[in-house]
Amino acid sequence: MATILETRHADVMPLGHAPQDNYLTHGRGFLSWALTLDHKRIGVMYLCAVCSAFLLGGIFAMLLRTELLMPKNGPEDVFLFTRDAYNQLFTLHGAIMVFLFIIPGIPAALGNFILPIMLGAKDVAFPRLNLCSFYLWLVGALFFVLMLVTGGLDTGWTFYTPYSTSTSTAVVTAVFGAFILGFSSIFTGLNFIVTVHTMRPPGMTWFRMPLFLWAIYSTALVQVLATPVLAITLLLLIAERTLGIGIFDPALGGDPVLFQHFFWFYSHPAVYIMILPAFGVISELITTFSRKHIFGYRFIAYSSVAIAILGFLVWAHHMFVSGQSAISAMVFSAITFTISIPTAIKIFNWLATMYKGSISYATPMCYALAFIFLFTIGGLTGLPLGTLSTDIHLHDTYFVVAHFHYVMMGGTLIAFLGALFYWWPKMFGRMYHERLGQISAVIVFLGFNATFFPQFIMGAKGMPRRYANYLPEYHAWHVASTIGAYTLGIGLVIAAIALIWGLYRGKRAPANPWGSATLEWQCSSPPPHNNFDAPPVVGDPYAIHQLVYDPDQSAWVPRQEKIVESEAMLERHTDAGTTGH
Amino acid sequence: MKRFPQCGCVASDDRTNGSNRKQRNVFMAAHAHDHAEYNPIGHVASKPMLLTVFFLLVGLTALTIWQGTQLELGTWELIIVLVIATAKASLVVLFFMHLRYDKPLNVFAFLSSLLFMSLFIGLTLADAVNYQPEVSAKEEDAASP
Amino acid sequence: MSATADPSTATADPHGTAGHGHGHDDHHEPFLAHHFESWQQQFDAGKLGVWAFLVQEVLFFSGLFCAYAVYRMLHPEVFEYADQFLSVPHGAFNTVVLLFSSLTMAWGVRCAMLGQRNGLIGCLAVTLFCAALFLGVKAYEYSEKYHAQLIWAGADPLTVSPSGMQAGAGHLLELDPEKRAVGEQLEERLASTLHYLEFGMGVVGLLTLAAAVGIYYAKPERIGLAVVFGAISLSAIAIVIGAMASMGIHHMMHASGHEATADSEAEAAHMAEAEDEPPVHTATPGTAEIAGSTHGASVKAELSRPQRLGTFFGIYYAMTGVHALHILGGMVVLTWLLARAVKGHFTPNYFGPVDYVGLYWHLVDLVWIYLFPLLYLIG
Repeated sequence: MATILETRHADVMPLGHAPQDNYLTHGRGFLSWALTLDHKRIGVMYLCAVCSAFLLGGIFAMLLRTELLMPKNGPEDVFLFTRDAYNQLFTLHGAIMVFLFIIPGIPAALGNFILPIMLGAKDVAFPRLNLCSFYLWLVGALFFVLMLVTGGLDTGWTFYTPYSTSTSTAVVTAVFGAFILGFSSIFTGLNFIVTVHTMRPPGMTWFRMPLFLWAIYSTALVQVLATPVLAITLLLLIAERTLGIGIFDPALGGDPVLFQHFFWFYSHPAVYIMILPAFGVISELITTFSRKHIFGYRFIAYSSVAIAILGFLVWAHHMFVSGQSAISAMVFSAITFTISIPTAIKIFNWLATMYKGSISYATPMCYALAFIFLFTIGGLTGLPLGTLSTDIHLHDTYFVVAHFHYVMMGGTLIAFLGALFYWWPKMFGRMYHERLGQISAVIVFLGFNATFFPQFIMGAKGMPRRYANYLPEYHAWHVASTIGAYTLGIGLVIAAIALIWGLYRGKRAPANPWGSATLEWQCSSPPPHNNFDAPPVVGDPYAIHQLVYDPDQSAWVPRQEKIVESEAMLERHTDAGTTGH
Repeated sequence: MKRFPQCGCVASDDRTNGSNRKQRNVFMAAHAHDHAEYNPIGHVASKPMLLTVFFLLVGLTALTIWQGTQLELGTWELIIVLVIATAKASLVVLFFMHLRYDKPLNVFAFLSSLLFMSLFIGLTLADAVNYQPEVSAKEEDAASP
Repeated sequence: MSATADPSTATADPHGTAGHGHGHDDHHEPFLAHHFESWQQQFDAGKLGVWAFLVQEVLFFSGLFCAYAVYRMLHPEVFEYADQFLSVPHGAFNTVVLLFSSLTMAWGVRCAMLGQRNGLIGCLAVTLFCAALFLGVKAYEYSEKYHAQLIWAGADPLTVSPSGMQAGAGHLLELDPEKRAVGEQLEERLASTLHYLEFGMGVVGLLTLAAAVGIYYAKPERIGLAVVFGAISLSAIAIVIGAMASMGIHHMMHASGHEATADSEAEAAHMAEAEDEPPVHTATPGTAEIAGSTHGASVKAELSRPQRLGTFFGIYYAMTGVHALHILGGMVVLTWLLARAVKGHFTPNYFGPVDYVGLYWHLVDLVWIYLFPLLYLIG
């Protein structure tokens, strides 16, 4: 992709102030990418990597939805896959999506690209560590591939003992891969924390930081505080499986419930690693496309940190039926409900931001609106799961599957797509196909609901998750869900076409195509190697009213500059296109 | 005489590093001997301070061994052992790791790790203790068929 | 290396850099990264990064401490029983070794900050030596436990198959039912393992020493490589010394016939008792608790082996093993520092890496400060 872009930049004369030397053209050849320390290139490499992982995980999802088209008569009846193969399918879908896509998705790919520019810094604090994170991700992904070819995995992405210590699949390979991916995530988070603390330019105070940065910062806190516990858990699991260390395996005097505590102490906060960056993205999109200053900036900022911290106090709500004590179940259930407060604060603030705004339905905004709708459903269906009495009925049913897909996919993936469309012009200097983008948003939204809403109903009726077979009464719901999944897949393909079309045929993007006031729109599209040729002017990140649309440049420019320029145009009848900064 | 400005430099450096507390007398005295010990970026640990801390650590180790092997204190034993270990750990953190002279942010970061660790261990332990009777009952059932 | 700041001036005059401490003006300093404005900013960023890394480390270890806490809370009798197999003198020796290495590390940071190159090299070398010494003692302890079959649950035949026990599981039991003899057998086997270790490490030490000297004279410009070989040699020799010292401590304790002999004697007791009554597995916590509280050496023979002894040793090996891995990691970075220190990279403006490695090293010490009483002094 890089070389294509480079040649286009080379043979197309730059318009306006589009720089000849940008991060894409700065250095050529494979090694200039493989050994780059530039956070933007690392971000782009991450983007390609996590999208490949998403494709792989998506293929597994399609296969398992296809298998579920037909109910089977008895254990010998096979539609497409054997029962063992089905167990592998959902495990691989879950493990790949969680460890290789959602967790690094927004922070490592988009965050890497955007965070330093948004902050006004030249780079992240530790560029070499940043590259190291990326290669750790690659090594972790290689272990996953190795696991795929050496027996697969059928434990579910949670690796629960004692099954994970007794199954014959390649658990150790997968677990070691996840261990390495954990360190990739820790180093990314560490880098972002230090960058936000020490690399802010003069004038960039904490409360001038865009909300995306607050969200990424909160995410980074969780990454550094929670992921090491996963690392030691997985290490002990490897020791348990290879040596029989006797900590988690009940046959050796160990305690499997302890494993679940260890695992969820990471994996519940990890849910916030997945969703917090999405909140940050939505805060940016809503304010930009409503042409209104964000409502309740400080509340949104603090609620990100609050979610990050509260997220550590609720992990055992995954274990209500795992044999934990009644008292812990009650305590964790009660704390679980408090999480809804900061989350609701965000939703209400976004709604208040849109209220009386002048909303434009550009593709990113379509995805943002879809996010609010889907995430709200996902969040509200979490309440019956956090309630002890109802969870006993709903636990391990399709209700849970639908719930976390509404949050993880309807939340994080939709926000990821919105962010991708939003920052695509900045990343590659060209606009995507707007109409196709909007169509993709609508199809994804409809397909998503068609896939997962029936699963709420099935789950409430008692359809258990992780089963390859089901009673005939669920047939219609499963068919609806599978058709929805295909629709969703088509929508995602259209989204990919809209973006990739932009790389080849898209209009050249101006520095600020959306009229946002955050710093990344002050530098050219694509940004120069050092991010800013001149030190950026730091102000209120949501002073959107100070930007006006200039049809001559088809870009947004600061209000005063626009006036000055129009006067100059009147006087001299010259093109004002070169003074966009 | 020439070195007095350097001394002033050291003091101001301490302030910028976020340590508002007055230096204790032992270390103050040590400090007075080492006007030459200046670094433009951080606080330089003085020789007497390093040695004092080391010998305190060895002394506390001896104490904890004596206490752990010679005294019978029942349940208090674990608590006392942990108190002494924490005293040793604090010495290492405050002086060897210069946290006493470091930015408040770094102090905060370290304390937060302890907070989250105690949260993890505390809540897990609380649960384990509460579900254990059930596990033990099942184990006894299995042992006596 | 031509751009390296001259270490000799820094040593001679620590104030030389005081006047222009903040390197705003010169961005051509070799170790000031382009995206930082000043040495201070670079240092602060690195330091915060290291603290964040240490936060990560604390939580990494917290999993082990959590497992420890849960099993100790639920099965205190297992821990009290197992404690007699851990040698306090060896643990204490290792504690002092690590504390001393912490002192030299802190001293090394001080030297680096003051631009004292030779002092820094000396301190780093001593720190590295102590780290390897620690591993030598650890190697002794692991071999001893291995030969006494004090091992994690999955490798322990008593835990894995209670029925297999009569069929001669635990080969030591067959050698001689007489306690004394078992103890002596144990020591012989231990000594021979350690001899292999010492011989191997000695060979490695000599070869790497030869390589270091060779490189130093043949290719002086590859001084860094020479230092790396030298560091490996130093570590290998320190491991040998550590193993020999532990054997010495063992003999000393054995000769004095004090409580410390509980070590081998208790092992013997464990063996003998295990043979005497195969179904000890059913030992209830109650009886073990009584046994634990009556501490006399004579009673030990009647102690029944608690069912979860393997779990204790699982936790023991996990905790000390992960800690030892951190020591190994520390030795790698110390070697790296040593090479850079010899090359004279560090100046009063640029001493960050020494400080950061120092912080990591102190954290490893910190973990041991808790591990020692929690494992060796259960009482």
